[in-house]
Amino acid sequence: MTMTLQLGEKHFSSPQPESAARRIVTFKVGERTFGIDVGMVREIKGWQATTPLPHAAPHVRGVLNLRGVILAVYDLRTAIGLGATDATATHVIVVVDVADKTAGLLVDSVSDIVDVPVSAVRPAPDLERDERGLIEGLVLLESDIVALLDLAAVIRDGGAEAQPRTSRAA
Amino acid sequence: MDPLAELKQTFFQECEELLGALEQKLQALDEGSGDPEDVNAAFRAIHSIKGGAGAFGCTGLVGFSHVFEAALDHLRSGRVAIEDAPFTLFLRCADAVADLVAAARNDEPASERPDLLAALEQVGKEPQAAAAVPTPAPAPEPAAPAAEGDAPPGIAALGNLIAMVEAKTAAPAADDGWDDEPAAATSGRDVHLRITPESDLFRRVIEPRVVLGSLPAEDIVSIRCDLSQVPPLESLDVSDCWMRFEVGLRTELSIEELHGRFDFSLANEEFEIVFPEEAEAEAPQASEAAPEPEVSSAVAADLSAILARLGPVSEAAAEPDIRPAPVEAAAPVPAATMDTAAGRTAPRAPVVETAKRQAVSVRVDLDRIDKLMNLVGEIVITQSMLVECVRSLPYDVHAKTAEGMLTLSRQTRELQDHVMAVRAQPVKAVFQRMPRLVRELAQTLGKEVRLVLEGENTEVDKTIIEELADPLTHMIRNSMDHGLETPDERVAAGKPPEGTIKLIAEHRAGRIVISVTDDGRGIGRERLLAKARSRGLVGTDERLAPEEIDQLIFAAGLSTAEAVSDISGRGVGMDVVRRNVESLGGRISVDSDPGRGCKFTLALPLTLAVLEGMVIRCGGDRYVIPIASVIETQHLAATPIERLPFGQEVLRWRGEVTPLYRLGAVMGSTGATDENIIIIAENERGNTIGIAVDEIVGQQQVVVKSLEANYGTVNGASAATILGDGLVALILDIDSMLRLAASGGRAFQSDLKMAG
Repeated sequence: MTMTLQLGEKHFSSPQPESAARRIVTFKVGERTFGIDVGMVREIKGWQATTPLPHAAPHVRGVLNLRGVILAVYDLRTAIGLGATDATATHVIVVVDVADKTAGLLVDSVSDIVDVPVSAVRPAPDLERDERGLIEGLVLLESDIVALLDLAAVIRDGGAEAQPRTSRAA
Repeated sequence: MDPLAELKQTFFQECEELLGALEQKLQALDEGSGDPEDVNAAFRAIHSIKGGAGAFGCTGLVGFSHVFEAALDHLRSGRVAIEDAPFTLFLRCADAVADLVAAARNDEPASERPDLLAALEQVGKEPQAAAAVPTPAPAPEPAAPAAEGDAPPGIAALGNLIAMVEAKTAAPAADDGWDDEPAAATSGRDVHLRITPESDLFRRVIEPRVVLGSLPAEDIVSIRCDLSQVPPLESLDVSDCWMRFEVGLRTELSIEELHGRFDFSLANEEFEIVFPEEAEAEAPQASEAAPEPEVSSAVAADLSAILARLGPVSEAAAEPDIRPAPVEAAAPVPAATMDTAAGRTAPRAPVVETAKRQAVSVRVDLDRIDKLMNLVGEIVITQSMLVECVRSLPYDVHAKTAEGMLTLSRQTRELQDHVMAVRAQPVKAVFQRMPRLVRELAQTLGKEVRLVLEGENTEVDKTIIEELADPLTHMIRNSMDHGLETPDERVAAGKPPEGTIKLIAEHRAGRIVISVTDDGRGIGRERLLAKARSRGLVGTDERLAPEEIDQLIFAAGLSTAEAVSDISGRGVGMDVVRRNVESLGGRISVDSDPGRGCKFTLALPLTLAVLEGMVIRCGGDRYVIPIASVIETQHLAATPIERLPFGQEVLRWRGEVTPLYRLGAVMGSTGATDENIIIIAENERGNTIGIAVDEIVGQQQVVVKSLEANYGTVNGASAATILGDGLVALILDIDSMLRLAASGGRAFQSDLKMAG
């Protein structure tokens, strides 16, 4: 029951000029829609059991084996403060490249790949709840508002309740 | 890659080996081995380096090596007794050659070492006056010196000849008799060169133009190319060279200089230097000299190989039909012949060595082995996955496949062992660099130090070897700078002025244990403790056992050096070492005996790739304990467990009180635990602990996968592996687990239920 969608580089390898458009993969956690640049996504695979790590941060779901490479899976739901995902076969792990590491992001489902003009990306509003500084910007679609994730922040301090918001200047 | 660059790369790789051999042999000689074979080996090494350096145009290296080689040759020829030779100087020169090689490799300007060169030039100068004069006498009959000494006769004779020629050029005043002839060569006379390259000339990336171009153009009187050897067109291989040249020179160059011109393009048997006017007079001796090497073909392996090469050439010289030009039917003068013969042995040596190495080993890119290793790792995982699949089959199918599975698993294991063996390398590769470090430091610090190496042939995985150099360098520096006293202090303390550092490698319980022991002053505990207190690492009223104080040396930012020196003492020493070692899955510990010395012990896994593990289950999770740490297992029910006053559970094992840890609690396992089994394990310091687990699932080889690569350090675990069902299991690290247990889980201890 492991459905793997390979996003081969050949589909998206043409570098998008910053002025033109950003191609974004959107996915859902509950009712919220999040997005990341397609270039960061290595593949999307069905939920797979992970091995918990002792005394890890709550949003660190555990580690799994991706064709011989061990990577950590982060629960986005926990990271945004909505508790742990009760993972089932319909849940999805988005495998992403962040900095020089590979990580998995546990989400409810992947919705779409959309091209948005760069002008449609708004800076993250300084809201009271900006998902703990995990958001890099907002994309306004006709039907939806997509929150662009700062993946490095999600992985670094997502879900760390004690993490002071002010620590993130960018 | 560009083939030349590739060749150059290979040359530098070889240089490393050659430098290692050179240093090792010189070291052995320095310690008084007195073995002429060591001298020969050292000479061959430096000669090979010089040859390669010439081919690649590393002039600085060539120049230095040449002088060094010449100095070593005095030993080879026996002109300088091995016992009297300045090996300390030679060792420093070997270091200098290493520097030059490094400079050439990085395309940096080479540093001149006039001091060493001058010292090298002196080698053999004093004895020369006495020894060089008598030696010319037996020279014309090479058989005579051949009989003396324990060097193989042919070689000794040839060595003597080189010596004589050199003695002549170096000290013309001492000339008499035979020696006068080459002296005459310096006054611009006719010299005839017969260049008969072997057919592989082009394949050695040399062409005749280069060869002839190395002669001074203004001295060349005539050049004749002899194409008579070129085979018929249909059988002509264009990559073979069949050209022969006759070159008439009127030159002031000495024979030796002429030889030098061809040093890097032609082997010595590929050209001949003839003085036409003396050709007939000395013919008889020459013909005697030529076959002489054949007589010695029964000597040591490589020498016989060298001579085997000489043999055919000598025969060729006797066969007129191979000779292109009929004029020189008479054999050449002894001066030329002997010089040629003498030169032959040495320059051919590298070729023979190469040939020998090709026969026994293949140079493989480490990358390829790594890929192979990864693949084998995957096979191991797949294989254990298959085993589990097969187990769930109906019995009749299972029974049929089980046998095959058994064979497969045996073969997989064998395959793995063999691949591991390919990667295994003796620690020598790292140990070899240490004598130089010690020498240089000793000089800087003004201390007298003897370095003793043991267990250099202990084999470890290549990946580990590479990571060993830094920690070892640091540890030795530390011992030399802080541990050992100056000679005066040592004498005052009733010790010999020369300090000893022992570097020992051995295999112990599936690990490689490397220790650095010095006989210095030991760790200054009071100073260390005071410093730790002043930095707030230790509370002011905290009492520490002496051993605990010693361990502070690994704390970050602590250095006991009174003054920060170039060598160590910046406080970034031992804590960095500890971190390096721990990142390799190893441990470091220190034992100090005040006033008598200090011992650092490194324990590292033999390989970073695979380990034999016991798979255990605790709650909903499985873990792997390295078999090497497991001493025995027993049932929990049969073991009386007691509690110490402060709550720590202990059990009695072999009469010792052993602390017991419940794995589920320490590692935060998911699900309810139901401990049945106690595993008695051993930590790095040899202390035993009991670990309570639910079940032992099995024992298997597991492929070690890094957690750091994509995540980070995990407390309690050194790495992870993939089990047969594709799930990840953590590989427990006993010491790290104990620290985790002591800290009580600390941050992020969460009640959050993690799905398994």
